[in-house]
Amino acid sequence: MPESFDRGALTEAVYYVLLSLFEPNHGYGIMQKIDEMSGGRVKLGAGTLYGALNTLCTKKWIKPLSEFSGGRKKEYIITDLGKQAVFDEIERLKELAENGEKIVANLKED
Amino acid sequence: MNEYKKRFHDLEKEESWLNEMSEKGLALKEIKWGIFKDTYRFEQCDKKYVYREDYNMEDALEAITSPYIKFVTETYNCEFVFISAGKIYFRKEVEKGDFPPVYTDLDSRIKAEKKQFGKMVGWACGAFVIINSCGLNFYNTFNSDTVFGRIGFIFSTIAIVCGIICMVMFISAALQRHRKIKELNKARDENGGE
Repeated sequence: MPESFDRGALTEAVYYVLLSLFEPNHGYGIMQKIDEMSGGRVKLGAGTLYGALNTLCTKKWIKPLSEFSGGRKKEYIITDLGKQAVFDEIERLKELAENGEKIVANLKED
Repeated sequence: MNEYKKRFHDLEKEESWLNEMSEKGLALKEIKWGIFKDTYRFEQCDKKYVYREDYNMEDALEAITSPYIKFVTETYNCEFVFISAGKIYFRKEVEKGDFPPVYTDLDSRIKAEKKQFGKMVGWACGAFVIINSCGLNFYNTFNSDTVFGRIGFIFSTIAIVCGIICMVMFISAALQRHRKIKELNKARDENGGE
C-alpha cells in the first residue's frame, strides 16, 4: 500500500490532510479545507479520514495539538517530518507534470 | 412496524438498501441478528436520511463511547444509530448536507476489509480452541456413571455443537471478506493502482 512506503507516492487523501494541517485544525476543519482547496472535488469519508489521521500520527508526520482537549474537538498540526514529506511529494508531482507537459507540447507542435 | 429478513455480505449493498428504504419513508429502528438471516425493523418516518456503516473495530463494550464514533458524529454532523452484529450505523438527514461514503479511496477500503478478515479468523480460532477443550471434557465424561459426569457430558455436547456452529459462521464470514478483498484489489489494479 502506497501509504506505508516511506518514499512512495502519497495518496490524495494523505496529501490533502497534510496540506490542511499547516495550521492547527480538527476533523471538521480538515474536511472543509480540503473541500475548499479541491473546489469540492475531493471529499473524504469518515473511515478514510480517521484512518489517515491515525496513520500519520503513528508515522509522526502530524501530532495532536493538546492532550488535554477534554470535551473539545481534537486538533492536529503537521510536524517537520510531515512537512518534508509534503516538499518531497511536491517535487515528485512537479516532475510528473513537467514530463507530461513536455510530451503533450511536442505532440501539439507536430 | 415493517420487518424484512435479509443477510448482507457487503457494506455498500446493505447501505444502499437502507438508503432505498429511507427514500420510501422507512427509518431503521433495529436489527435482530439471526443465524441465517437478520431481521431489519423499520418505522415510518417523514425525514429522509443517508445511512453509512462501518465495521466496529473497537471492543464491543466500549464501542458506544468509542473515539471513532465521537469523531464521525462531530466531523460529519451526523447521528450514531446503533451497533449491531459488529457493524456501526450512522445516518444524516438529507437536508443537513453531504455525507460521503465511509471509505472514499480503495486503499482505506481494502485496509478495513483486511482488518475485519483478521478479526473473523481470530474468532474462528477462538471457537476452535473452545471446541477442543470441550472435546476433551466430552471424552472424559463419555463413559461416566456419576451424576456430575452425565451433566458434564450434556454440557460439553451442547458446547461442542455451539462451538462448531460459531466456527463455521466465522470461517464463512472470513471467506466473504477474502472474496471482497480480492474484488477490491482487482478494482485497484484496473485503475492502474492508486
